[in-house]
Amino acid sequence: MSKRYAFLLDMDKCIGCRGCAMACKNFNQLDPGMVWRQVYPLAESIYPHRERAFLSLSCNHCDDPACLRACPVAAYEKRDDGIVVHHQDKCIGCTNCVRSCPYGAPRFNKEEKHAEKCSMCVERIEAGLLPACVQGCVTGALQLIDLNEFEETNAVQYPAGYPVMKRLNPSTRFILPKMPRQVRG
Amino acid sequence: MKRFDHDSGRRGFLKGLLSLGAAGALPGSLLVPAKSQAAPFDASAYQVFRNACPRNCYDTCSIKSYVKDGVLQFVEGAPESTYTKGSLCVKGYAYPRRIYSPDRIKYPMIQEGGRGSGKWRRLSWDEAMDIIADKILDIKKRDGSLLGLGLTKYSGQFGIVNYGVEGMMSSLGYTTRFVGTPCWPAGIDAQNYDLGDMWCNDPEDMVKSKYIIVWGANPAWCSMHSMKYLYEAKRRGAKVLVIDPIFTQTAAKADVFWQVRTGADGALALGMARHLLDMGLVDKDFVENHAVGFEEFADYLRKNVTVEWASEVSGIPASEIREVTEEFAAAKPATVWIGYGMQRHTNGGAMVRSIDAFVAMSGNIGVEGGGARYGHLATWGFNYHAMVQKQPEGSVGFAGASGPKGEFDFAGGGSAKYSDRAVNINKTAQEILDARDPELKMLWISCKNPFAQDFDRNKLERAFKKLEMVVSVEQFFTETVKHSDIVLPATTLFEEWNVNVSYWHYWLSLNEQAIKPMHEAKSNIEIAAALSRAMNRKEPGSCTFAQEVDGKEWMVKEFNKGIYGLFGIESWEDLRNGPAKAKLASSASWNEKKFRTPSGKYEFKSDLCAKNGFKALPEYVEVRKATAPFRLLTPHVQYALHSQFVNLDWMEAFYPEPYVFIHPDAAKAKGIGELDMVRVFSSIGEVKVRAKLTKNVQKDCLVMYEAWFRKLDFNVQNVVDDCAADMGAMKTGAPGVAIHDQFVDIERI
Amino acid sequence: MNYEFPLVIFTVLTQFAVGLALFAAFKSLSCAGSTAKECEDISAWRSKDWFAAFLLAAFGLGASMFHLAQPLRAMEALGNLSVSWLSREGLIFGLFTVLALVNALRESRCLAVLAALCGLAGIVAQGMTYAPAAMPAVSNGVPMLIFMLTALALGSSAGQVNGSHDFSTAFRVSSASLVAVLLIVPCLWTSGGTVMQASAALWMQSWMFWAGLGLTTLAFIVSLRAGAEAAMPCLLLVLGGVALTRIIVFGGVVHTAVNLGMPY
Repeated sequence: MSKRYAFLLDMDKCIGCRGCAMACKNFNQLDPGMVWRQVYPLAESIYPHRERAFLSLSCNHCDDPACLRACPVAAYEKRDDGIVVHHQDKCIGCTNCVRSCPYGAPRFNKEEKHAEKCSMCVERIEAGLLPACVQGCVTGALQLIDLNEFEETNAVQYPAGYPVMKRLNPSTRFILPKMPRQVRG
Repeated sequence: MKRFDHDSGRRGFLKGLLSLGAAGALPGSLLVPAKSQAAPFDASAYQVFRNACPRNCYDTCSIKSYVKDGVLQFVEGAPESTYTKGSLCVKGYAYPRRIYSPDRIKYPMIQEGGRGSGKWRRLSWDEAMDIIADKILDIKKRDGSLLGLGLTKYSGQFGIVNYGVEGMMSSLGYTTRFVGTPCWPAGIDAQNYDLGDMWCNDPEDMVKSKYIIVWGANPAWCSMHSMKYLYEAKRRGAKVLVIDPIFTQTAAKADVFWQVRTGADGALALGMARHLLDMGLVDKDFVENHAVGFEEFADYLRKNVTVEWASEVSGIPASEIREVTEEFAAAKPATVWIGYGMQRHTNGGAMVRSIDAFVAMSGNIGVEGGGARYGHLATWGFNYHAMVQKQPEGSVGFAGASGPKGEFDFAGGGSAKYSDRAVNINKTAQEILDARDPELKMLWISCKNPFAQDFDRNKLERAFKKLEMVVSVEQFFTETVKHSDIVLPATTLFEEWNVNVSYWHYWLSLNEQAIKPMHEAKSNIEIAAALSRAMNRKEPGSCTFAQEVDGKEWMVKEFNKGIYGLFGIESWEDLRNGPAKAKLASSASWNEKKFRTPSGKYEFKSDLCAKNGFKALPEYVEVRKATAPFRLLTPHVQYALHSQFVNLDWMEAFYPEPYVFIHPDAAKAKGIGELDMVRVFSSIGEVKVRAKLTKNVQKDCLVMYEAWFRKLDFNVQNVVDDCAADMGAMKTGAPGVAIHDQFVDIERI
Repeated sequence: MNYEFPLVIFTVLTQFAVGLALFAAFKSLSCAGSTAKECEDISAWRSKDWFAAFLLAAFGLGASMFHLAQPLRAMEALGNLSVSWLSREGLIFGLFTVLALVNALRESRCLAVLAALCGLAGIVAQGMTYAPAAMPAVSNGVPMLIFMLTALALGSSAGQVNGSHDFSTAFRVSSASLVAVLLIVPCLWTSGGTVMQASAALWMQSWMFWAGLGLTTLAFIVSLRAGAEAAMPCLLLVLGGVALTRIIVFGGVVHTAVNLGMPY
């Protein structure tokens, strides 16, 4: 059976440190202002403590990627293992993918005049390594899973604060954060 | 269920390497398909070097650096260290940008238009060293000694070879040294009074704990690599309690959070100790056989402390105190991680002693998975070859004193006729202003950014005006560089040889030179050698520092048999295969219960402490009185190590702007709305910053995270004064600073 | 706000061109049975219509190139016809432009109908392209409806400028519908999710939105008073109105990615 690689974010372990996002910049040598992974604090209406629970998101490597459908030059490729790769050399910088992805995964690089996004470090995966962000997650909150064999029952596909896009069927899975009992002086 | 772990990743990586070998045998890259299946990552295409993060951080990560064509391509955490475990942090991963940042200082420069003018002129190294050497000789001629030359250096780079900066000063003569530490001294002395040394358990043994209290520490931001042990302990059934005035990121990951009133931790610990006593939960064997003064302490508790009183002072309900105390006592082993934050108070040392006493009574000292964890220097037994330098013949210094101290000062003081003049690093501004006979004329700054980190910044501005020459060794144009006459470009850790250990975990890491120094940067010992050349050219014999140094040789000279034995290595070269961990008889410190106190036992009652002007028992001491409506806390943020990292454009992508955090009720009373620009002010200065409203902070408390932003004049030290903490002078040469006993007001602008 | 001027110019001009083509084709078909002379006269006018449509479409396509970071590689945008509506949009409008030119040079009913159908297909493609999932407010038929009404309003007012036909009713119906749709749509969003509500707020707070609606309404009123006589003023008014509201249609719609971590 083929694989379907995906990210699993255990929000209960995530400390919002941005290590994953910086590990990505470090390995992929992104331009100074560019990020392929970003960490978004949950609103207080979702997690009642400000900036204490997070969504760490890059590309969700959707089943039916909006970017791929938006791209007029076929710069996006959906691989058999589920990874959505953007080929920068093909990109002509129309930004239609940027408009189309509900998760803000493709970002436009003004200097290089093309879009770019997370490739799940496909070259690392092919060498049997973990993506840089997963390798870089200091608490083990960010993990690589094979969705075809993933059976964790407490994982959700659409946590609050994350757009529900059934047609795209994003592959990322989430474990929701808990809260401590609080005694306030 | 299928998850990919780091181990399977490594196995796969090996397989990948094998198949790559096969692919490599095929001719040319034409066979590589045009699509993304092309070119799997090939580690063999890189030169891999061993590095160590030398920042003032618990985690002191072991780094693997990947270099291609002489350029550092990327870094990763060393997988060989079970502590680093293959991951760095948001700061560590920014290192490639730090090396290659366009903002780096590239060559020696002199600020010709005067300090702050911004009119810099490039100098050659020789020119720069001539100017400096002339000034040093001038001071010596005028004063008859070099006590007018001061050194301020602290934690910017903790590599062992970097103690060559102190060595350089000694090699010139007897000078003035800013001693002490703004970081952790009150707690160090407290633990020395109680236990005879600061010596914590291996943090990796927290997984064995059944109850963990994280007291005034925020490892989720400041010791991220420790979080996995907290999580693993939780997974194995341990309970985690976080005690903090702020609902920190660590608190969000705990089972229970106690929002204690700031500075009331000592009362809380004493209340818990009293409850242990009341419930008969005291470890009799420990207090009778391994401790002294317990009966006196018990008496003190019975007479002066009740749980209700502790509740009133700390704000934690009495029922909570009782419940947790009983749970803690029932859990074996149980541990308290004592953070550095909670000892930065006028009663900080006393509070640490109270917590130590609570842990000791519960029988958790010397126990694996237990302990009152604070820090350790057990792995720092290097030669300090670079640091130990001889003064030139006939040098005149400060007569009668025993010389400067420091927690990392392992050289030991000899009984010479003269010594350096020690002044308090925590009162930099005041000491410069007060220095007499001779006055301080010249300041050498390395591994330190006083204008970002030293207290009462406005006073520091005034003090610097007194100085005739300021030399900074730096990588970036910090505020301190702005206040300097000459700046010398320093290498980053990737451009020099070093060796590093931690004050928290027990790993030893080699730091190899991975790339050539950028621009004209030099390491601290190379700078010392350059200065020595200039000094000896002008006045032979005026500097004893080697005139030529080889970074690698000097690194090797720091090793000794003790280090090799402790870490179980044959030679430093073994570290090229990865970091080594100290061979510990037990993961528990004090496992033999032989304490280094005068009595050889745990001292609930410390005569030494009394002799030094404090209470012999860990009694309650009230915290500094408020002088303004709000208490100000200025702790660390995960993006910064003090003034380092936030200035990088890579970091700005995640942390572009600082804020002051204020409780919504307090904000409402002050007419402050979300993201409003406000003025945080006290009698010594002000900070203008935008406000964020959050219940993570208490109503009478404001929080600003310290950091240096290259484009902003944000500086928390504008409103942090140099009020001393209680303890610290014994082991570090100067008492600590009451960084978290600061009071301010706030208004909308 | 991100103004996206190339997209505004491209869509407004191509929709204008399609409108012209639709009414030119209508004229071409409705001319059947008249005298040859009449037909010839009208044919000459129609030729001008087609030529205008060609110019507008060509200019619009040209403007669209400036939306690309690498405009010289614009032709590569036809490279993903099998899945990308943007590719299809480009191809269809390319075809449409050629057909408009052919009709301008030598009209035939068959080609006129073909060009009109091609233009309609272009509107459909545009409607699909600019309804991304990432913008829940417009990830529906709204853009297509707005584009179609725009084409009709511009085409009907321009088609009657030469005085050969009176499309006043068509103009009034389409311009009034356009105003109604632009008014009703943000009202519906206010009962939607956070991101939709934010879009509604952006529209409602924009002077360009209200000015655009005002101009379009004014065009409607002028047409009501003066009919086909005031064809040119109507055209200019509605063109201005459409351009202003179009800036909002592109720039004033909130993307889900700006609200990640917050209610969506």
